[in-house]
Amino acid sequence: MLFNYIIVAWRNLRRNKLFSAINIMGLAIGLACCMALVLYIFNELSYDKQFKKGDQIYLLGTDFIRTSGDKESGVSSSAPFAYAMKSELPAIAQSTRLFRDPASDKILFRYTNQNNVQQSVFQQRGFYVDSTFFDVFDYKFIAGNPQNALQNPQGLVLSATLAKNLYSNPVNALGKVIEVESNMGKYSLTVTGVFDDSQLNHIGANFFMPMTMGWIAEFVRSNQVEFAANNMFMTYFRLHENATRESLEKLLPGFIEKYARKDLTVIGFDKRLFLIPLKEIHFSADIKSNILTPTITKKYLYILGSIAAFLLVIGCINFMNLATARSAKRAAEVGVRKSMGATKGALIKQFIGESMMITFIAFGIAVVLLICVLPLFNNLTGKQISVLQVLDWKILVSFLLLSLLTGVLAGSYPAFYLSMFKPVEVLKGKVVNNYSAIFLRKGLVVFQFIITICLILAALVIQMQMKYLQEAPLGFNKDQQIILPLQTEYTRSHINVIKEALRNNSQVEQVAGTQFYPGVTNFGDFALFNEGQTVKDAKKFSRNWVDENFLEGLGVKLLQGRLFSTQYKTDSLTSLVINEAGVRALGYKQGENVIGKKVYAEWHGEREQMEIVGVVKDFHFTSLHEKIEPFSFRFEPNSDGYNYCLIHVNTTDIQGFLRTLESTWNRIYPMEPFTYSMLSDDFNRYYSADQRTASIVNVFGTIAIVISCLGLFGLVAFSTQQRTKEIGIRKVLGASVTQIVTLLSRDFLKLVVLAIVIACPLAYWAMNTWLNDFAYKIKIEWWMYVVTAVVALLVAGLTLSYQSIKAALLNPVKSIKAE
Amino acid sequence: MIQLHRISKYYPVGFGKNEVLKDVDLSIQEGEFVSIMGPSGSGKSTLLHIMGLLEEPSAGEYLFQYDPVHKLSEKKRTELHRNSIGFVFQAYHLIDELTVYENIETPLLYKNMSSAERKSRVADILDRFNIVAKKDLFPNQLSGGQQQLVGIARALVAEPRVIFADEPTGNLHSSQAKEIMELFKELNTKDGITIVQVTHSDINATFGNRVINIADGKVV
Ligand SMILES: Nc1ncnc2c1ncn2[C@@H]1O[C@H](COP(=O)(O)OP(=O)(O)OP(=O)(O)O)[C@@H](O)[C@H]1O
Ligand SMILES: [Mg+2]
Repeated sequence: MLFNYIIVAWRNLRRNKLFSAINIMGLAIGLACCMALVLYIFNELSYDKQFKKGDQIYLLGTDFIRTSGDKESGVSSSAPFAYAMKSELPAIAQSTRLFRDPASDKILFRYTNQNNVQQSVFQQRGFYVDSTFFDVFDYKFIAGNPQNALQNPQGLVLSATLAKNLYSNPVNALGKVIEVESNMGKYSLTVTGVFDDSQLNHIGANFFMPMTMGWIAEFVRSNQVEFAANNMFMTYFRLHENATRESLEKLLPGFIEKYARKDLTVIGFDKRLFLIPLKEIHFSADIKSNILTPTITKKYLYILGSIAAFLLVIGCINFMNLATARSAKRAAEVGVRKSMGATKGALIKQFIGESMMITFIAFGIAVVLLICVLPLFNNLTGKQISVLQVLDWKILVSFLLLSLLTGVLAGSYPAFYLSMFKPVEVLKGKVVNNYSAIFLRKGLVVFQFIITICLILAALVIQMQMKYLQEAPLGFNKDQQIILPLQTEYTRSHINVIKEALRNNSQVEQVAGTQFYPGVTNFGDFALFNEGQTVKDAKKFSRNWVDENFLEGLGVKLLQGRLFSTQYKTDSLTSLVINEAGVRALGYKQGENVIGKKVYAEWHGEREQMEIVGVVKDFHFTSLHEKIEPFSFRFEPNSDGYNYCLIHVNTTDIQGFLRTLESTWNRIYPMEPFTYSMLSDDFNRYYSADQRTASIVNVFGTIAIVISCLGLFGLVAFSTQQRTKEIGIRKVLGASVTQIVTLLSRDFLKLVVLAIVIACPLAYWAMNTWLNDFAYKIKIEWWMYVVTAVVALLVAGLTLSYQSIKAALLNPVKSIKAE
Repeated sequence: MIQLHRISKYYPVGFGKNEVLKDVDLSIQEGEFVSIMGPSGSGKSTLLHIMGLLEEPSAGEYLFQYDPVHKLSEKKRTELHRNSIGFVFQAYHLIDELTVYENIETPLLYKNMSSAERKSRVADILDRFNIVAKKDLFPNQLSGGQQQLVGIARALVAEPRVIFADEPTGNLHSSQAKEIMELFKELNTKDGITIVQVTHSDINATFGNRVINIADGKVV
């Protein structure tokens, strides 16, 4: 029997090549997309799974609460929390701290490689950690001993990937000496361990160093009782097995009272502590930390999951539609089989089996398709998913189950529908396309197009927002700005040399030194208040230490007063330049003259007096996701206080200039590799996640359109096939080609119009939600709906017209005879 | 074998009903070859479908092999379709995707027969109908007469007790029709299979041994 079914199914497929191709390709593309997105989701869900006691690990989070009620959440804490909490709270089995200086992200490695060649390269994502770090995070070591790897103050622990890059065989790295230089100074470290980094975690470290180096060592040593300020350490705990998060969190307010109250009163804000379970860190999107790896919202995964499901459902809908549309052809078979004694159950089995067979073929094609497009997909999503991961048996089995499920889903409706046919009716030649089937079919087409239209509008809105982000005036010059990171003591102390060397170059408009620039996080901040106020009234200001050229080089617009200058002795002591948001925050009116006004910061009871010398127009120091906040610049006269050198050039031949720059650099800093970045690239990195969303929606939206149109194409092909005789007769009676094309397309276009009407409010809601993540955004305007509607109608119309025109041009005699 | 008592059939039409069969009394003995005749729309097919258990009467009593049909379970009806009843259709209704051989084999598949037995049965019937050479062809590669031959072979292969044929020669020209009728005659006399056919042709009716005339839903 089974064989009989398979033969019928197979021959059916072969006989109706067009329909089979549409069905199989629709399902295959749907399945492939689904599998790709499932891999993506699995990948995101795999963060932080490698630690054995992961369920007991927590990250300390803090709500910083100002007297005004403003609240800001963060995951960095003051230095002493880790050990004070461990000794105060018995639930904590171990605590550890993690630190990375984002302003000095590139750390220079000087080492001798396996071929005995001296190398010096910058490395990124290095972390300073306590010696207890590997007691909390039990990374798998492939060389060395995690227990004592960082007990040694000269220890260095590398990731297997980095160790392999340096010494070709990761195990060989053990015991090698590497000279490490950063703004912490220059140290000779010995590799004491190599850890397996094949699995993802929220830290994303390339190497770990002990927190006993440079200023951080000094800082940790001298800052053992300050519980309010200097929040720059990630503090992690491993709890005892029987301890719970809830019971521990209850004790945290008490801890604050006992240890931190005094400091908090002085500094003028409050802290509320909470714990973030390790497995939730990656999904805590409100954690804004550029120390850890980027987090995502689970919402995003749900969206991707739904897109995946939708694509598959669209493929299934094609299958159902074509199967029920073609049911008249199968009806006779059903009738005959029933009159021979086939039960309904047997027929359902037969038809579901048939659809499973089709999905099975589609599954095979989908796997091949997926493997082919995997590099593209990785490119699109910024993931590194390998073919091996796809061919992993667990994944394959789950995909197989997924496709079987798809087979049942796609096949069930046609199967029940077909098996319900009454043999008498079929045998009497009654047309079996009943109303409920036609209604459902139309409903499914509408549903398909609703999804498609939502995706088109989403793509359009995202595109417009991205364009807006690219083109919105930022309040400074983003382009033609080259950034040289000053990572080592030597480069920092010699910034004046490079400034001098470039000053005479006619291609250079300005050379400047700065602590931060738009494109990196501005860590510095303080709270300012006016004359006659107290620290309680202080407003938070971001603060950047710059030289006399930076503001001019960056191109911010001066509104009042002046920028910094070496001519004024006071500039290095008290002068302050603020933005308009800062003026407003201090309580002055827009445009009110504030030059010469005194402002104050207070630090442990010590007041620092400053004077406003300039006001600059509001500018976006960070992405347009964020509102423009009060910002201030201070003058840093010491040349070694800058992390970056900014070069504003007037040439469009950036490549040519960079060659000159590189040779200049190599002349001045012979022992250091030349590295640079373009400010615009750094700034655009804020939008890389948005860009990714945009590409994903574009790609999958296009695919959705393609699958939907495939289905529409099949349906039209079918309905014209059914109506060939009618068309022939109409033509004989004098209908024009246009009239016939209209006749055939009208019904389907009506469905698309209905879909547009339903989809627009849905898409509006969804896209507004997305846009709400931006402080500065476009409005969804009526013309976007028009464009979407036109695109949908055009695409559907083109799909329809091919078949209709073909039918309309048919020789009427032939089509009448064909019946 | 077949006994109808006051069988009626009506279809709902609009607010009223369309009475197709009215109080039909009829009995057919085992081994008969009956032809049902009557004008178009008189209810012949409906009657045949009721006798073949494809449709239920609206009123009346029907005994098939002395069993009251309306008391039969769905399972028992399926059983009868598998073992006792064969159908031959005017439009042949062969499964297009199956070859001649596979078409004939299909009813046996529903009977859970061993593959060896299926083979020998199909081989026998192909032999008997002289269509061995055609066994690997698909229906659309056969003439109408040949297709109907396959249709009859398919109806016979499960060795039913009765064959219901609704205008089996309606789509054939007279010489092909004659062949089919001769075949029916042979099956009836040699194998003792009861045959009930609907026909418009007086010539076809002469092959049978009884004619039932229907007009306006009534036996006349
Ligand atoms: N499902 C139905 N609903 C309503 N009326 C029906 C239905 N099926 C058949 N009829 C009506 O029942 C009557 C008898 O139909 P039937 O097919 O039995 O006639 P027939 O004698 O076989 O005619 P023909 O010689 O043309 O095949 C017809 O008038 C037809 O319109
Ligand atoms: Mg009839």
